Amino acid sequence: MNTLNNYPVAQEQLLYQIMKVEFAVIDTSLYLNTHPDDQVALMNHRALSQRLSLLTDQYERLYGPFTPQGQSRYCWEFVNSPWPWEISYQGGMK
Amino acid sequence: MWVYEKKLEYPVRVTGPDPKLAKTIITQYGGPDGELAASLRYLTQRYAAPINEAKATLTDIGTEELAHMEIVGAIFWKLLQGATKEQIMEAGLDPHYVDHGCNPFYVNGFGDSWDAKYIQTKGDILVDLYEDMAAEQKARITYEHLIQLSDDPLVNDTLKFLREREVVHFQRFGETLRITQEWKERKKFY
Repeated sequence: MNTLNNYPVAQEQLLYQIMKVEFAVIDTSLYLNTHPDDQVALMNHRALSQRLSLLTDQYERLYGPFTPQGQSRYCWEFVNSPWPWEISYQGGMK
Repeated sequence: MWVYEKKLEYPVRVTGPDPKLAKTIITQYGGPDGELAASLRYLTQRYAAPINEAKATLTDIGTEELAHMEIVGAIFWKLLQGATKEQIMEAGLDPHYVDHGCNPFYVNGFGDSWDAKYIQTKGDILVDLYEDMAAEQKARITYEHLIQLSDDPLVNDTLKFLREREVVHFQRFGETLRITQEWKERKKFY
């Protein structure tokens, strides 16, 4: 039987931040698909997308890559536990 | 192409083991109005889409539905962690356990396997978009039924997120329908 894991608090908080910003990027990009000329939405999407890149870089430097395209240091960190469905998310979305 | 991102679109938390709830939720994994059906429906409707807004919307919503399938699968799996033999038997999940263990499978709440007959593409964007808007409504009400049946506030938090996305997708498909209709009207005057 597998058990659920907790991330260290700092890692979990950074992950939540990324999940929040990434969701905003998903939502604004979906909106822009049907409103490609909406300048306010474009501006929001650009800012969110930049923030997502920064946070993702920061996370991946500390804890390993989110995708197989990311870089690892001494060993191939993409395989590391826990995987998304194994995290207990005890901290909740703050 | 697709690239896996090692994170969920929204966190999945459960209060404790609940095979009975898991058995109802599995329909949003592999049932008629579930996330697998949604994703496969939209992704295969893209080829005959005449305008770029429709191609982008079908691609991106089809992709997001895969992320939702992952979320529903995680809810199912987590609800079975620590479940007792008695709980699994009582929930009627014993046949599922025999065939699939605690892994989610592409079945509805009755255990019937996923069927391509759940979905359709007619190769006509307007017809397909009407089906897609109906599909989002059916998925929305399915989540509402699940939320009514569930006593787990943590599971409901995730189900509410998924329900809300169905509303947003319905909206986006409606806009795509309008844009496509306007495009067809304009074409007549060339």
